[in-house]
Amino acid sequence: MASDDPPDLPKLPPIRESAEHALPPLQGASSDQGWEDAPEPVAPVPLHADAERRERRQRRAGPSDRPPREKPAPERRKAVASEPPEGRRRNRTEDGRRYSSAGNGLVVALLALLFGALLNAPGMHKASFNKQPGTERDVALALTGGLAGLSGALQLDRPRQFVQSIAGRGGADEIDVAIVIPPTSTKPKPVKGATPKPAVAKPPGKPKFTPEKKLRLWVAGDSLVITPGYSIVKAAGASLVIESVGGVDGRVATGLTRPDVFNWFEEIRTQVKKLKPHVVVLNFGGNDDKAYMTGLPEGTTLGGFGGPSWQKEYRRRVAGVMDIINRAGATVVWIGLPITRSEAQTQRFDIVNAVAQKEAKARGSKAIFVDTYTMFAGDTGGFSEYLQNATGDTVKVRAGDGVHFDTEGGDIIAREVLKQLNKSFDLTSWRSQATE
Amino acid sequence: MLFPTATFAIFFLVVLPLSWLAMPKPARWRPFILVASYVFYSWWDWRFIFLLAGCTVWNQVLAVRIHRATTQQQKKLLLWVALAGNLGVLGYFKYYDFFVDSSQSMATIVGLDLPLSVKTIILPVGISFYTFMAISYVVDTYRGDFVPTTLEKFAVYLAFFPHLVAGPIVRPGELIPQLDTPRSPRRVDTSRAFYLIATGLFKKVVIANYLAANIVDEVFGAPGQHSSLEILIGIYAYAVQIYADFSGYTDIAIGLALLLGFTFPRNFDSPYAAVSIQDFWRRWHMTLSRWLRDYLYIPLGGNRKGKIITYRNVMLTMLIGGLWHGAGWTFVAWGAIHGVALVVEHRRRDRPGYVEPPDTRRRRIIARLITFNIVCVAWVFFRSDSFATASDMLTGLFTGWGQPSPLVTWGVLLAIAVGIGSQYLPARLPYAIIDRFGRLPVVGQAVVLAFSLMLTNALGPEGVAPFIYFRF
Repeated sequence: MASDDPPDLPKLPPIRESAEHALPPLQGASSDQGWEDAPEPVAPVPLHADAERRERRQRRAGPSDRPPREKPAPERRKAVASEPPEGRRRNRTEDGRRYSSAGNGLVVALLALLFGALLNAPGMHKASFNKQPGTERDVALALTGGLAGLSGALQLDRPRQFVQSIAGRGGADEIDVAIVIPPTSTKPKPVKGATPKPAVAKPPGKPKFTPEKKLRLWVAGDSLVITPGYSIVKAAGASLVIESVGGVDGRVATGLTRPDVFNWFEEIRTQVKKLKPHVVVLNFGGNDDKAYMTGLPEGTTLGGFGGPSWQKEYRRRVAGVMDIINRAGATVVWIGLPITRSEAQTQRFDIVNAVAQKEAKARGSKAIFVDTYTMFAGDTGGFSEYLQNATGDTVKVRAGDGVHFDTEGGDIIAREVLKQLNKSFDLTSWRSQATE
Repeated sequence: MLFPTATFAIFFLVVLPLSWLAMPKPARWRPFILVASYVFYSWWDWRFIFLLAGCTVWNQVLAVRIHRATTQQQKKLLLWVALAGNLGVLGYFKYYDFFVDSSQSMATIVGLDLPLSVKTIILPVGISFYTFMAISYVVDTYRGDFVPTTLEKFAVYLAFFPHLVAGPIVRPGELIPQLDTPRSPRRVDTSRAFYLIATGLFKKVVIANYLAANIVDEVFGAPGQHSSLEILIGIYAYAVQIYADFSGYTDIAIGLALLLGFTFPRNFDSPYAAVSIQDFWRRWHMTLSRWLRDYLYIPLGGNRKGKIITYRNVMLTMLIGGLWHGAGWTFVAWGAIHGVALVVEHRRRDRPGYVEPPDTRRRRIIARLITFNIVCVAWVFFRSDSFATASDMLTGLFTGWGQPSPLVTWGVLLAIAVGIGSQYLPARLPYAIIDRFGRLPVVGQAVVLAFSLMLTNALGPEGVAPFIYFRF
């Protein structure tokens, strides 16, 4: 192997270092690996090449995470000196194994991927199902569908099921598009303030929370909710009367249009039952600005993105999520989609925002819409990565991708959410009672 | 294209046979692999390839001129021009916003208003890695350690896709000679390659992702909301996560290169079995630490100029090394912790009459525990998005004992145990596995690998989380 030969170096005297660099070797480690005392190029070039060769040989001798070599250095040098002659070494690796051939490697790789695909077929089929619609998805679905059928027939999907069931992820490969939402909201609600709920909207009836009876708050949504979510949880931690339950359930690349990717309707129903929150902070829509949905009621066609039938179906879903939460007695705080660097995306987000905002408005005090669009517009009304924070410093509020929030941006949203919660709930009167 | 994706698997299955078919004629192989590597790189953003190509031409032209220059003065001048170009590009893409941001806050303190504005610059993937490789090419030429090769070979050296986006940082003397002669198709260490790829995938896709999703992100996201036990385990989990993620990725890179017939240097050597911080840096991201040693620490004067200058050089190297990892003061703090620890270790040894204590088992265990925990404290700054988070994490370690800790599950503890325990395995075990694997017939090898793919895929997340080190 050519790499065994000394590298093509000119025969020049070393100019880098003098022997003064060499310090006593340290605790059994090979000195040519450490940058600290750098004795490396103390010898003339041929020896340097020799050292490199030795280093390479040691490297090749073991897999990357070999435990520490505790052999004393002199012994190792001896081992290097008593190497087998060049001829015998050519067919063997440094640790005495036989080399294989490139062709062998290729066949193994091909067979392994093929057989691995059969073993993983159900998971690959689900992954294909979750792709964005288009030719790629169609092809992937057709291929993996056949593969999954074959894998099932040969019972080659069993090992995967077994591993998943041990890991507590049984059924992870099932494709679930069923949207279960409360039946009354399957029809679009009349908006424009036509559904007043005076009983809950009256200010005197503000639910009261105290350090003994804390307001339970849960945060969920797509990737956009993660950063503000943690800011909200942090802010809740600083408050004596708000308690975060269930952390931040932020799932990348999910939304309400694709229950096959992740079924939020199911998740929200389960979590609300389990966590019993008083407030659920949601953020959806970042991935929903597309003309494709799964889990459509039979006979429904969508048309293009943002058209009347798209809006009708999306409203059904937003309303469904809000209903699930409201019926469990909790209030929804819906964080709207922000202005983004892309104008086209901002326009699409606005259509999604309009649906959510209308639905929130129709629910009176049971749903609060937090408008991040204007909150994050810059001085000129356009997208801005930097804004002034509460103390007047210019801070980075948006992530580099022009869509997501940075920590400071999350803090701005958290402050607004707390402000809104203070409007809807009595979070402060316990203070005066406590001092009495 | 990320390594653990179906797209990359298809890409590699096409490139591997074609590469070996072209191999006998290097004049055919080199353009082929160059195109393949540029296709690989353009998968992120096609505009990046112009930067890579520009970086290639710039460094090649200057390296050749440095080599031909007759006086030392000329050589030096050309070297500075080359370095300025590389650091300028890196500075612009990676640090522009950071510098503007930092200098503006500084200016505000003294009451100035700087006319600088922040821009939105997309960080080209892998830029930190290939500019460092280009610098080593130019500097080695300047030092007379290396004669510049042809533009074509240098372009392959810089763009070769296995190391392109996340290292290892390969030296010119290690890779370019391998490009000269065709690799022998009969002498490929496929067993070791498959071992590295399979274990690398498992580390990266299963261990790293599991810990990130189940404890690390939660704890670092809101430290005030978690018990001391959760914070402690969260920090250890992050130590394992970043190791599994990064070493897993470079293991895959080394394995892929091996299948193509090329040998890369090792990048990790059981770092959490280190007995001192100095030892840690011989085992963690080894190709970066030797780069820093050869191209930063030694030019600064190394340890030739007395103790104080040595300490200063150690400190400076670690601070700059910290900044290399990310444009933020928390990364500088991470470097500072390592720097201070290294200086303390130096000072201890520099005391007159210092005798190395005997290497007993107990002493080694204690040294490893102390080293690992110092490294973990530094990781807190590395992972935290701000000093406020880091300080919440560190104070949270002491203020919340006895609270319920739902995030500390058996799964999390098992993943941490596997991540750390794998670094303490007897040296013979991986050899034995590789040896046994190599003796299996072709079909047997394929079945073993297929099952490891199944394990990785069944236990990994749906959709692979982005790799931590791409940011750097």
